[in-house]
Amino acid sequence: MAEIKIVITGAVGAGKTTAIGSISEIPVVSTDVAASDAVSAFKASTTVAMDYGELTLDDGSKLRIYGTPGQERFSFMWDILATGALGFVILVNHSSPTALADLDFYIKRFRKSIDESTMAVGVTHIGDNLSSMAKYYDYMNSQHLPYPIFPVDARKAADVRLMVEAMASMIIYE
Amino acid sequence: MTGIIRTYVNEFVKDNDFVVASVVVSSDGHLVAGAQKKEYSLDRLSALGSTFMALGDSLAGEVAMGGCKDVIAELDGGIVAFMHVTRNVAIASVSDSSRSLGLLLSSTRGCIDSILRELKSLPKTKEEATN
Repeated sequence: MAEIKIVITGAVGAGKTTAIGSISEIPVVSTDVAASDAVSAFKASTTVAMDYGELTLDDGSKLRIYGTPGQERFSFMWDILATGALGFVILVNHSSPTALADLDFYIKRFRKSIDESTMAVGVTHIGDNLSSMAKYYDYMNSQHLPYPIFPVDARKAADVRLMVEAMASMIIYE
Repeated sequence: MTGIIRTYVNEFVKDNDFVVASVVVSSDGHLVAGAQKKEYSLDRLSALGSTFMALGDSLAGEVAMGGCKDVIAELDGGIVAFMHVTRNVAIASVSDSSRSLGLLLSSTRGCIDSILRELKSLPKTKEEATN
């Protein structure tokens, strides 16, 4: 059966570590450490190398899921983790005032890899405010990016699983 | 406190010919103090240092072999040693001699011991500082 490497990326606080922890069927390999800067105001720890989890799909395909650090000073890890990835999930924290700018930044940063693979966008911290999803659809349309966008509660396995399974389908069947 | 660490790192780099750079970093990759004889980006070296130590710690947990004391990168042109100072602080030392592993480890350990000794002697409360 296929083994598929996917990368979950996005800004600090978007929910990358939580999302991988929600769906991984193995204990997540984590490199979270205590945050000592402005990040500590809203979360106690931050990822400095990567997260790693695994998920086996119903057809037996195994997803190897890597999470990137969110902070740009660890961008050397972004390039390392992007190598060989067949799909990218960009998580966006809707409650952040820079949500759209963050999405734009990560798409541009990973654009070359995305063009050679596929991607999905997960919008976190959006709750029931689904009408707000429109601005993300509008952005993706304006950039001619025909990729799926999901409202996601990173704590809910069903939400995260739906998103990564959709992307895995794009990888396997396209 | 940062001033004390800076003093020891400066002396460490100055006193050891084979050491071309050293940074003390927080576990989340911020430069606490650094010194060098080259023109490296100490901020990038700091971020890399915390990443290496975090991977070492994760590896130690994975194989259930206690904590990670140090991570060694043996390069064509030298050696980089990453070591814990405390749980949340690490030091990275760069040598331009690929035959200096033992010296690099022992001298870096000496620098760590000096920093820890100095930090332990600091007053822990305002009252102690006043007395």
